[in-house]
Amino acid sequence: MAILEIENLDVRIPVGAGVLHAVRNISLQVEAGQTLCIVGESGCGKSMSLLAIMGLLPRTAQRQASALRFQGTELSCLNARQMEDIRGRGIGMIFQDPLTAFNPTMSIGSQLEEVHMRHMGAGRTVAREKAISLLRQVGITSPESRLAQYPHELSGGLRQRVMIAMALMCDPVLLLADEPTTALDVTIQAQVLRLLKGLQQKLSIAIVFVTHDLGVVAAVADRIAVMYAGEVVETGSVRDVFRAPQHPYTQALFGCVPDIANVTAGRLGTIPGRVPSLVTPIQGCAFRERCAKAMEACAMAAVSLKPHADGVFSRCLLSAEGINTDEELTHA
Amino acid sequence: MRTFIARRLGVSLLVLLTISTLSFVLLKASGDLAISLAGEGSGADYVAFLRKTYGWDRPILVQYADWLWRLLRGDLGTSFYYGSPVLEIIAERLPVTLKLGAFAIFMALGVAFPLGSLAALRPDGWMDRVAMFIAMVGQATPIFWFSFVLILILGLNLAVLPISGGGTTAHFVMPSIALAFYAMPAIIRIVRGGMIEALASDYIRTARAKGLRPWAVIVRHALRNTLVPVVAIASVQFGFLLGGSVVVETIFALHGIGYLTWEAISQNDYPVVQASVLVVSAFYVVLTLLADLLNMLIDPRIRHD
Repeated sequence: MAILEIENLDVRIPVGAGVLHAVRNISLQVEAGQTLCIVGESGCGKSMSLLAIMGLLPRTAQRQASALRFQGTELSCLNARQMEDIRGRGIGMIFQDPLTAFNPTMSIGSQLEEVHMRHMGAGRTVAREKAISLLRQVGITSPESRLAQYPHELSGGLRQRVMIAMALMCDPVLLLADEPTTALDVTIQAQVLRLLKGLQQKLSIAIVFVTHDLGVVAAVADRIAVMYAGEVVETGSVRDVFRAPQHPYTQALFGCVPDIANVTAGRLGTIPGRVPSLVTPIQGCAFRERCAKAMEACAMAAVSLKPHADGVFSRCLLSAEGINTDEELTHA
Repeated sequence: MRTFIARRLGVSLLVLLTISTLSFVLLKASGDLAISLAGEGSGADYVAFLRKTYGWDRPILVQYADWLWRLLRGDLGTSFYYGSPVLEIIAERLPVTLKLGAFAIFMALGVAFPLGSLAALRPDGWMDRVAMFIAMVGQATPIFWFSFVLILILGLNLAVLPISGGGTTAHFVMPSIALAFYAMPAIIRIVRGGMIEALASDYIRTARAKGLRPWAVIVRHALRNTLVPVVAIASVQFGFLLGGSVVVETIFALHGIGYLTWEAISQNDYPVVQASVLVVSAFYVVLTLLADLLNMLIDPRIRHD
């Protein structure tokens, strides 16, 4: 059963000049025990999508979706109090910067315990035991003494582990992770990823993992959704997309990954041009101005997600024709 | 943490020493005490006699050391006007001012905390406008005028509160309101600013992501983080109320330190003026010290500095 089903999610945020169309018509699905990675550049709407699921968008933002179902419950039909009952209970969330995401004036222990006490109806003693067992599970030694410590007394890696433990306090079925390893160094990042993967196998939770790091995707994802300018431009199983990326943007992203085995090219690959403004309406394909394979047809109408081989979907006219890998088609 | 407290205590002692020196020097610089004490038209013999009696003919450093030594033993000198020890006079007046100041600061906090917090929930919303209007009026209203308005309304028209004197606690209500109204605007602004900043921070988003109820998010998570600057400003305001209550104590005829200072100045009673300045300054120092210690309890980052 799908834990999370999103159909045609749209997020608009009024800004000074107009309306920022941050998330444009995205559809996603996550099954129990599965990890979906949302990949994209800064500002492509990946974090906004997570906040939209949680109902934590800025007050002025407008959220629309033809379906936003968590375990079959339509989230858009819930009032604020019912949504509060789901947040932290059924859905746990891990934030990017574990230093600012913790309250600096409260001990680790009270921040962990309060989620459990809020949702599980048991007292502080039970919550404390749960916190200790979870801290042990995320690989923290002598968890009892950690509970009395404050966020600033822990290292970055330790804080992120505590953050993971906090998201798991009420045994959620869905975990939303917003770049949980971006603020960490590579060694700690690998540890945290292994930890998440292990916990997922043990508890069979569904994870939506937002990152801009393709290395992280390779390590944790079952499925991948590539976002560009608020849209999903390609989605499929991580194996298929990594083997044969269909969308020119995905291909370009892979072209930017530094290759240690092949260091002869002196410069890192980049994608020329800039992400289009999400305030002005986008005509045709959002990526066409940076795309090496853009054609006249790309500017005509919005491109829909088209099915490709192996259940991969791609939002490109070329992929629909099955000729996307042909370099000869490159012309303006 | 111990070193922090020790360092903080050391600084406080140094500040107190500086204040005592300043108040001594200022008094000496204000003119020849013997001449002003002798009064107009007195003979030079009498002035010289006074100078000798009070030891003002000695070198200034000797006078300072002597004065400081007496001060350390709790001897603040003798009032020129009353002829009794200054310490006794101060001890008699201090409770009145402390009571007034404490009432006023708690009233100010009691109003400013909810008002500032509500204002911060929706910046530029109607609650915010109301709170900011109250803060602006509080800042712009002269305290003596506001006191008269209170006397007119509460004391004369409604006749629910006594106007003058300090016999009962009811006598303290109007002067406390006047002082609180004066101290409140700064606290409202600090609470509002701190709350807006706190509510926009990442840990509030985390708290909401944990499904906590809105009141828990605000009270347990946001409010705690606005306390540090509020404690700091409230302690300064409290010190200011102790020293700055001259006008209010005079209007309501409350015989506190402020009224005493005013009396002493108009009677050329220098030892009392000097002692009042010292006592109020000392309170300032102690209050800021207490505020720092309180903030250490609130914010662990200060504790582990």
